[in-house]
Amino acid sequence: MARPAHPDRHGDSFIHEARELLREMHDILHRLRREPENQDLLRQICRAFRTITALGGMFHYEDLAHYAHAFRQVLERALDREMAVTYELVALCQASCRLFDSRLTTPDASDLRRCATARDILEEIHAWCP
Amino acid sequence: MRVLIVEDDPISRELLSRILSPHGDCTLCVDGREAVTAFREALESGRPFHLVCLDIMMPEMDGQEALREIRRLERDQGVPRSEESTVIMTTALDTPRDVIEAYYRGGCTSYLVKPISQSKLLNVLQELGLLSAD
Repeated sequence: MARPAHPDRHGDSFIHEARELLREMHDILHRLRREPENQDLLRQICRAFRTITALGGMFHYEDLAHYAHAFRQVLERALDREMAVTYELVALCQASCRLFDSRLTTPDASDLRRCATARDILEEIHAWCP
Repeated sequence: MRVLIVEDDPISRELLSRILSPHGDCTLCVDGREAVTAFREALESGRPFHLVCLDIMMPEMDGQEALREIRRLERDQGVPRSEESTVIMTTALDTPRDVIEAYYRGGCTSYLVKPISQSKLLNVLQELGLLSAD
């Protein structure tokens, strides 16, 4: 289904800047996978998901905001040392970044809330933060 | 609640002060450098600010740099994430780049685009748990 015309005047720059952020997230997650105890990396990735949440809310990608918020909640628990950063958690974060990127770059991408893969990933992440 | 208002424009500063004064003790600063000094002194004296309202475009030190300094001070002092000050950017800048800079590089808590109204600001404070909904 085609996405409606973007109502925001920053549409193109939003996509450009958000993809730049996703590239940084990709690098951080790659490192976090090898260094799960690294609190600086964890803090950075937490901030990145918080940023996606805010951007989504401000620039009319509410589905991205909703999705990123769920990840942020789990990662903040890890930052507060209430749970460990595991390989599976990082893999879920990586999968979510790929979905975000595809949502931003595919002209006919539908709202993530209608995407079965996104729903599955969200369900998994919710299981980490009941 | 201890509040730090950082705003170079006197009218906006006065507006924020009027909105927030009934809810807390407000300290006013006119640029980022002054704000970082006030924030450091409060932190070191064991009476940190609960809320910082931070404009971005200011002389001396802009709000983005002040935000990074504020978070650095907190980290240097070993402040845990749950006790970090709530920092709300209050700005006319609404580009994705500014938003990313503030959240991702800076670590702000929230971001409000001017004009700031009483209801907009108080709603955010309620959402963040700094004010009760009554």
